[in-house]
Order: sequence, then structure tokens, then C-alpha cells
Amino acid sequence: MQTDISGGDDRIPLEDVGAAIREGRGLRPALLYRIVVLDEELNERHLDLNDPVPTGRQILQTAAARSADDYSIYAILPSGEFEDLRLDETYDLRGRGAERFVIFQTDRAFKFTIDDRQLEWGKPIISGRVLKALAGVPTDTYDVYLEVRGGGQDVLIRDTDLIDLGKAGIERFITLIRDTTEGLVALPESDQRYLDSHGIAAEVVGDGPHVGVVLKQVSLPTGKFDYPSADVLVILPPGYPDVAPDMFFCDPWLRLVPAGRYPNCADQPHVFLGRRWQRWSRHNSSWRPGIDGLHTMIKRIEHALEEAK
Amino acid sequence: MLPITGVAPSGMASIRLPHVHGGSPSRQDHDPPGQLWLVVDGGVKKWACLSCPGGCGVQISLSLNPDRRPRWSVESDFWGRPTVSPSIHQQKQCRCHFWIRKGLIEWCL
Repeated sequence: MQTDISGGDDRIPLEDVGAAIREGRGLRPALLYRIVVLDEELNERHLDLNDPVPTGRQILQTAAARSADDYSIYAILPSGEFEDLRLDETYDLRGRGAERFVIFQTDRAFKFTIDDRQLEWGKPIISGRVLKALAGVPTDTYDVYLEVRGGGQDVLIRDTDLIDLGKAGIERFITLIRDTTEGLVALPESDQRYLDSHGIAAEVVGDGPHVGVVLKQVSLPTGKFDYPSADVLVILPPGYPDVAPDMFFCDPWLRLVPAGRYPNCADQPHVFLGRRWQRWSRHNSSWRPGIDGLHTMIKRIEHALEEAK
Repeated sequence: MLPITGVAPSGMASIRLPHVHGGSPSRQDHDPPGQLWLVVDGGVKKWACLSCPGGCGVQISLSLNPDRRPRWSVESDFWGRPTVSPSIHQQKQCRCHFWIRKGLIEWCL
């Protein structure tokens, strides 16, 4: 279903659909368009399509699903909702805001309860947003939790979080109205201990509803950037540390030496606390609630700085 | 901004503490006013639930999970009078803001 793209010569080798969505731009003409495909266990992998307007069948065939007719494919929209792709209908990647697709076999039903009501869902995965919709609660004022029985805290599920209904123990959900306090902004104890024991100077800061941690004067890999150190900002999302922080931000803006340019996906500004930060668009899909924390994020930041190209 | 001990608009000023074992917070749809329910499962305190004392009666569920925010803790004394900290600020409905200390509602005005 190749559509006409202006002049084949100015096409870039690969366009990352996810990066385009996050940076709020359209897709550039490219030889290949990279999307993310999830299987039934929510394992993610990249899939490179040569067509920005593929059919459901094209995506399934590229993903090597044995027989396209036994499988369904859904686009996961930024809101956490699912959109069904028909096998022989085209789906325009340019401007749908969806970079992730999930593929699964079609002949199963998954049972679970929300607020003690029995429900069935025809797909092995579900998002927080869909759970709230099924529970009939307003998505913006309620939170949905996975109920943990037998000695664990209930786990918050964000709108865009995907839950594998096929896993053992994923059976019961509850919805609760959201309340907050005016508490002092404080890091979880384990984070504070980590910072203290590693001698990392950090400041917890609030910017309106957002909470962030500024790591002071982090040493950068020797000779790699035009500064020896920089402040690094991590924004803590609501629900942290059950919920992963996304991306990080540097001040001053770092350029690669000797190339003299910003690293890939690190050329967008983000204003926080009145400072104009350099946004490092680095993502993480394997956050382990209860295990991961600021220490994980710091390791990821060190790795990203080390690997910057 | 001094907290003031006083009777809530609903006439409720004190909170007793029954325990709930297992179950989930949403199950107690209508907590009787004047009671704080704890959801405890497998020895883990998960939620504290009460009817909003500010008059709107909405069910408030406070997370007792020490590892996320917002979070609260509940202590009770010899007479089963609960103390909840920090304060509870309702962001919806009646927008009331109060402390529960030794079973008494203390309003932040």
C-alpha cells in the first residue's frame, strides 16, 4: 500500500515512529519505519516496516505471525485505549500517535473482577484506562489497582500501563477515588539512603504538581562532552516509585566532542523550575515496582551518557 | 493556620477503629460515619477507609503503602483511638482538610 512520498532520494534510512510521537513531529520520509510490537507476554520488540501506511496483514507478516488469519492486531493509543486493525485495511502511522501494537491469538477470553464484578475481556492484555472504563469510573479522578492477596501492597496501574491478564495472580482489580494530602515532598527512604551512601548531592524540588530530583553536578564521561559535569533532573511521576520515571534532563546543554552537536534524541528543551533543560529522550519499559528506584534511574542515566552518539 | 478540634459539619467528631481482614477497600461502600476501617491482608496494612467527615460523605481510601506517595500511617492507642498522619486533604467534593489525632477530627482552617 505504498503511498507516494515526495522524491525517493531525500529519504532517511530509518524513522522511529515512537520518537516522532514523543517529539511531537510528523514522520519524515524514510526507507523504513520503526514501530514496537508486543506479544501476548508483553515482550516488546522493534519491527521495521517499509511502508508508513501498512495494512494489519503487512504488520502481522513482517512480525512473522504464522497465519495472519488466526491473529488480531491492535494499536495502543497514547490514551491507553486499543484500536482494532483490520487485516486488509491500511493504518496510517503518520499522525495516529500510536507507535505500539499488540498481536495475539483471537480465540480466548480472560476473566477477572473489578470492584467485585466479574468481567471478561477478549485480549490477554488490558490497560489501566480500559480497566477504569470497564469499571465505569471517571478516568481522571479514579485510580485502579491490582489487588494483591496474601501479603503485598496493591499495585497502582496507570492509564497507559499494560497488564498481562494471562499471568497467575492477575485476577482482581479495585478502583479508588484519588485523594491527596499536603504532605512534605520527600523521597522514599531507600532512595534517600542510596543518595546518602553514595555521596550524591541531590535536591528534591516541586514545580506545581510535579516533583523532581536534581542530581547536582554529576560527573560526565571524560572528554566526551563539552562540560565535565552537569546537573541532571529526574521528574518523579505520580505513583513513583511504583511507576517508572521517564527520560532525564541536563543543564547545561551537552554537546558531543569533537562533533560539536547534541546527541541523538537530546535536542529538545523542557522548562522546569524556570530552567531550560536539555531533554534526553530515553525510555524504559522494564521497571520493577518495589525493586527499582532512583538507583536504577541513575544507572540508566550513566549508561545513556556513556553511550551517547 | 492552627488546627482546631471541633465537631465536623456532619456532627462527627470522633473516629473509632474497627479492623478489617482481607477484602478490598471498595467493598465497604458505605463506611458508617465515625469509623475508620483498616484493610489488612496477609499481615500487610494496605488501606485505611473512612467516610469523609466534611459533610460530603464520600468514601476516602488512604494508601498505607510505605513505598509510594501519597501515603499515610495509622496508629491506635490503648483505647483503639486512631491517629492518622499526615493530615488528610480532600481534593474533591467538599475540599476539607483535617487531622485525625487520638480519634478526634482536627480541622485545618
